Amino acid sequence: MNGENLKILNKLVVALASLVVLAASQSAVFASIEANINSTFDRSADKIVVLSSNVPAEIDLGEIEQKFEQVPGVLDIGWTRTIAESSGVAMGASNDDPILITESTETYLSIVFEAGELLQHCESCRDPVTLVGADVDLSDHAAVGEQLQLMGRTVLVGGSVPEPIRGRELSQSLIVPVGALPEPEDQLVRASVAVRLNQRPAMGELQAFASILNESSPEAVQIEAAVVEDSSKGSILETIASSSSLLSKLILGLCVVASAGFGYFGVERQKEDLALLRSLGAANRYLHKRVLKLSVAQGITSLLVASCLISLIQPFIVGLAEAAYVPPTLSYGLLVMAVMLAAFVGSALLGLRSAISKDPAEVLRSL
Amino acid sequence: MLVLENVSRYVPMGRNYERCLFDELTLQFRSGELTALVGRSGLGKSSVLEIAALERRPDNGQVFFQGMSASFNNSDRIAELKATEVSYVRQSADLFKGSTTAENIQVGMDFAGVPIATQEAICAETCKQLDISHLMDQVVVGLSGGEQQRVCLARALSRSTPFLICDEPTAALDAGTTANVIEALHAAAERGGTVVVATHDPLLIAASDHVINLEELSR
Repeated sequence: MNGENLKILNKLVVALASLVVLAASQSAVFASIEANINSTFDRSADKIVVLSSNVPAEIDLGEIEQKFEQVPGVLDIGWTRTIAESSGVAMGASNDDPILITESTETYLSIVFEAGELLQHCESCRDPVTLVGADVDLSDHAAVGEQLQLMGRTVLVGGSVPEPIRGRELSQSLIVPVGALPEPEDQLVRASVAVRLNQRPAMGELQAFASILNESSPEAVQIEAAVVEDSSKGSILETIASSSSLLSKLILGLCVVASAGFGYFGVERQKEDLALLRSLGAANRYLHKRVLKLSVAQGITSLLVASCLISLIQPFIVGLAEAAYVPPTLSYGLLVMAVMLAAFVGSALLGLRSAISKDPAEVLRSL
Repeated sequence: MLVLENVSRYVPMGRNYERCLFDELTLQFRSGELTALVGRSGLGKSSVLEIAALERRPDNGQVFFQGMSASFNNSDRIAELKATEVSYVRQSADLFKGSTTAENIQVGMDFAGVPIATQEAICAETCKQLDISHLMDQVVVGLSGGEQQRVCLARALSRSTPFLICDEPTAALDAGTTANVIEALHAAAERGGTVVVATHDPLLIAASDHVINLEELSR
């Protein structure tokens, strides 16, 4: 192997080693971007709302909280609707009505008592049963069975608010007998739970939520991935994945054009050396082999440079046009690299063809 | 023997105009001689040498090496002739800029088929002959014009091709170095080579075995 080949081989080895290093760093960059996407889009829109059409009376909020805590990624438990209308509802349920957990927001909690199986837990519950208060621990204010005057009503304390709810900052709480609610309200107050998650829940997790809400018939629990203006993290990623990847194609196109340009002008820069080699007796076949080897080495180097540049601008691209951006897969990345390399080598050979179409004297005199 | 037969060269001067440098020019350069091609500037001495060295195809005419026509349409044949038969030294020092003196000389020998085992010794000998031994490991881009010119000449001499063609080989040299170069050219001719130089240098003209005045031929 002569010195020139050795030099080219050395360059190739360095280029390939750099490629491996770059691939590793690229993977890290992509992983980091993915993580950034996850954290960036982890906002209030990332709510999974689990709706139950028929929450049984047996639900124990403490138990729900405990079980939810076992599910990774659960950050919070909330409710979805206000109950402003409920506060004015006449109370008149009988102790025979079952208890329903109805609805809440972060500032409102409504627990509707209906007489039923939990009667023994609410023996004192009778009309009217209404409690209002912030950070409610009813047992701190009144014992079960006591009567209070609240909101112009006589309220009989039917029980303390369960632990998980009591820990929340509630500006107002109501306990009302559901029997007093008009029919539309009755529809509205069907159980609903909003769970804020760090990540898209797996189907198994959703089923777990359903089982917690309705152990006997979890299939009756409606599950909705929530769903505020289609902007949850999950939907964004889905949109990204299914998008036309216009931006990615644009980047690929630009890279290919740039590679072709670099390949052609790389040979242009070598035209003096090529003319000199021809002057010394280099045959066209030799020149083709030389340009091929050099352009592969230079092409890989250009790929490294291009990849570094793309890595640098990638976060900005994602920020600017997230909908058109597709996180590259390994196969896609390899395809892009192969196309770029082919464009580089092809244009280099084209440049060589142009260079050898002239006599060496003509080339060297024109410099 | 190197023969240029009825060669013509026209230089484009504009869109529809060409200037005739020389037309149907026939020249013979004999083996074992140092031939000087002289004449005022602009007559086309360099073009004649380029055609003789197969660096440029003539607009008309043919070139014969040892009686064999060089077909400019056969690029492989031209490359072969240039590799093994002709060495050409331009007026401008054309070197591989990023390489050392030794590497520049050795690449010339590679193409000429000089065995690798003998290349180093030949390179050292030629450099010594032209007084550039101390430059062998230096990158040529840092050398002076005269030094670069001698590296080019060393590359051509070390190839030991039967035909050596040089364009103003002593133009950038002082008297002492010119004498070395003339001696080296003579030595190449004495080995049976055909040595042709285009020159204005009186010393080199005086040292030549044969002088061709292109101006007289062009009349």
